[in-house]
Amino acid sequence: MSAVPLLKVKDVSKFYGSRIGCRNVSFELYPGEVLAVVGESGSGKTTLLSCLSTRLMPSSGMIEYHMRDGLYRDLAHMGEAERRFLMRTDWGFVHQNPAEGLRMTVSAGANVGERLMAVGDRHYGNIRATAGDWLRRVEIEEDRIDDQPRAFSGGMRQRLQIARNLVTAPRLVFMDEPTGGLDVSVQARLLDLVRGLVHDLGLAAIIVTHDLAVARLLSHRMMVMKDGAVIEQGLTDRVLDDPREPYTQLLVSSILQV
Amino acid sequence: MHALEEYGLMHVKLYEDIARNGHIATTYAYPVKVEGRYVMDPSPTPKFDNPKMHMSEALQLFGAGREKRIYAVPPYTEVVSLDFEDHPFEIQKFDKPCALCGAESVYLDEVVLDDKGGRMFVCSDTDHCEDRQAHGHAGPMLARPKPESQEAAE
Ligand SMILES: Nc1ncnc2c1ncn2[C@@H]1O[C@H](COP(=O)(O)OP(=O)(O)OP(=O)(O)O)[C@@H](O)[C@H]1O
Ligand SMILES: [Mg+2]
Ligand SMILES: [Zn+2]
Repeated sequence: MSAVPLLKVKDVSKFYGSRIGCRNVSFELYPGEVLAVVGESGSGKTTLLSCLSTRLMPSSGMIEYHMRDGLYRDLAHMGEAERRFLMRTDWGFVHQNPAEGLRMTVSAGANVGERLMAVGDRHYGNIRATAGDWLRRVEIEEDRIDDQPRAFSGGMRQRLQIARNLVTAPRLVFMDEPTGGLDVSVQARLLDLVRGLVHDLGLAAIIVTHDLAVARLLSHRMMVMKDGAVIEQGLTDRVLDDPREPYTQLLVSSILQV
Repeated sequence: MHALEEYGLMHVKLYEDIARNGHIATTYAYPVKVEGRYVMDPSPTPKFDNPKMHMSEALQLFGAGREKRIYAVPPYTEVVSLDFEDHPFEIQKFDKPCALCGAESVYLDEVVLDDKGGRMFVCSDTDHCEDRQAHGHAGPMLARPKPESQEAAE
């Protein structure tokens, strides 16, 4: 891991009117590092992820991203065009529901190729070949390249969504409950795949999950949220094996007993 | 019209076209890039006339119905049709002029004349074609002896 953080998050809070979404969240994320954000329903995980990925504007605090040119940029002061460019080149966003992250009525090949075209790839044959490669990498038969995701199973859709996001070799991927809507056996296969890809590509990732097993399998570090605040953070094995906060202890013991 | 350089989506349309048809089959609403920056769908201009938009002397107006807006392309603006390196933008080439009015370099429709394979190619823009005929232009298939007087009667 490099010595300079990819993302610097300082005192980020988000209020929905008087309701707290998340409050005073601070952390740094390094290149290649996988951070899991865990906590019960309503604890602010999605709110935080939305703020980090510029889908929501924080009420206060600052988020800085280390651009490819080596400079830090305050995300709140980025222009719309620049922000969009960042989102479709250097970042990925994997939604829990694949229909939100895919174009359901265009082919799998075009779903994967879209980002390539958005960054200026203008050779149909190359775009199609790259899309085919990526389908294979996420274990979708290459002969499904002209099929629409409508005709795919839930697990296939999620794998397609991942391919669509990774094709431009982003440095940072946000995932909100990536295995949420899937059967247990399908989940296991997807987790394996994500773990392999994250490792091979050296991706940094922030993964929101309420499933501690997902955190254990995928993340280096984790943050536990409660009522919008981060109550404990540390290396994943440390937090899960030796939780310090009573709430984390409860969370861990309840899952281990299942 | 997409001001935020969203080229990707317009190219997706063209990609799908090639994946489905083996070539870009789009003939209407063929996307263009304006001044190297803005991407728009120039309908109702047919693809065949896209090249005429480039560096046009005229102010060109386009309605974007869904957005309830009108976009203007100023005179002498660079307008380039989107394409792929291995599937370059091409317009249909017609080896003969319009069979009725003799016009060249206009978009022609094929018209079937009988059930023995007889056919002719005539202007897609019928107003323009009739106007030309009324002004005495004639193509090889224009059989009427006095086209002007017939036109004038209408
Ligand atoms: N758009 C919104 N408007 C108002 N309040 C909201 C909105 N979105 C979230 N909240 C509130 O903010 C708090 C945090 O919600 P958030 O969706 O971030 O939780 P979460 O940890 O992602 O929960 P889950 O595990 O159920 O997805 C909750 O109290 C929620 O009701
Ligand atoms: Mg959530
Ligand atoms: Zn004619």
